[in-house]
Amino acid sequence: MPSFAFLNELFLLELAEVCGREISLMCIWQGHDWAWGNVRVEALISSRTIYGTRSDVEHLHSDAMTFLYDGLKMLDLVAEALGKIRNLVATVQIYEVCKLRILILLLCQNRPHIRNSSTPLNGLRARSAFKSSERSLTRWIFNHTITPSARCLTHVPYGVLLESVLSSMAWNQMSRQGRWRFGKYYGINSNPPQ
Amino acid sequence: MLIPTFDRMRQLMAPVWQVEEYQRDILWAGVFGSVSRNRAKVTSDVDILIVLKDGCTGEPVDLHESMLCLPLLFLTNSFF
Repeated sequence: MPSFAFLNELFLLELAEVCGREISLMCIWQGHDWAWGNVRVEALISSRTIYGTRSDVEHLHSDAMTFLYDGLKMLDLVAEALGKIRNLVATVQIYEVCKLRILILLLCQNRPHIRNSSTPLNGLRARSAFKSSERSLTRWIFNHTITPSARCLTHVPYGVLLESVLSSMAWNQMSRQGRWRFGKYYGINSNPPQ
Repeated sequence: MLIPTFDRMRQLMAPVWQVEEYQRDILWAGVFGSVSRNRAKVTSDVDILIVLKDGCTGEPVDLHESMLCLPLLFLTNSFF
């Protein structure tokens, strides 16, 4: 697969020169994993056309909207799941926090459009770690820290809880990271995320 | 320095998209962020999204290079 030749300093400098200001450039290359990182989904949905026609990327836009609507449905499931957890562990708050954090981490896997995009290596490391520990971790969570009636939560689809993170703290933070990462690669914006 | 409005930025960038080399790979380009909403400040940057045509990839070369260097890094660290 040929790498596109224009994504270099010259291209960005040309854009920066005509605009008279800094440029943050983000790129989508087509394929099954085009939505790697939520930043691309956000950018695609909110972009206004400056070159080409919108209909040419309608299939990507449709994908992006599907991700969003899936997220909305999952938020309902999250609310329901959280309610159950809260009822079950109302008297043992520390377990609730611990369990939620682990659940969110588990649910991050295999959902590239909402995965933390700070660095691909983090993703690789997390994926391999969870691949081996997921089953035992899940069993530990649901068999030993809460009542048996909460075991139904193991069937909550992966990705459910993450949408709530996406819509709150992760969205802005990850957007900044994604943009900074790209800028870092191509020398546009060397400021680290705040 | 003027406030970057969407229309002005689109107008300024128009010649860039006409370059044949870029047209060969770029399917679509758009502006997002504050400029697209016409809420930019004087010092705001311009957020540009480009979608490549089928068969093109924009994956940074340094990513592959960095990953290829990792085993070497481990080896040299353990060796010395």
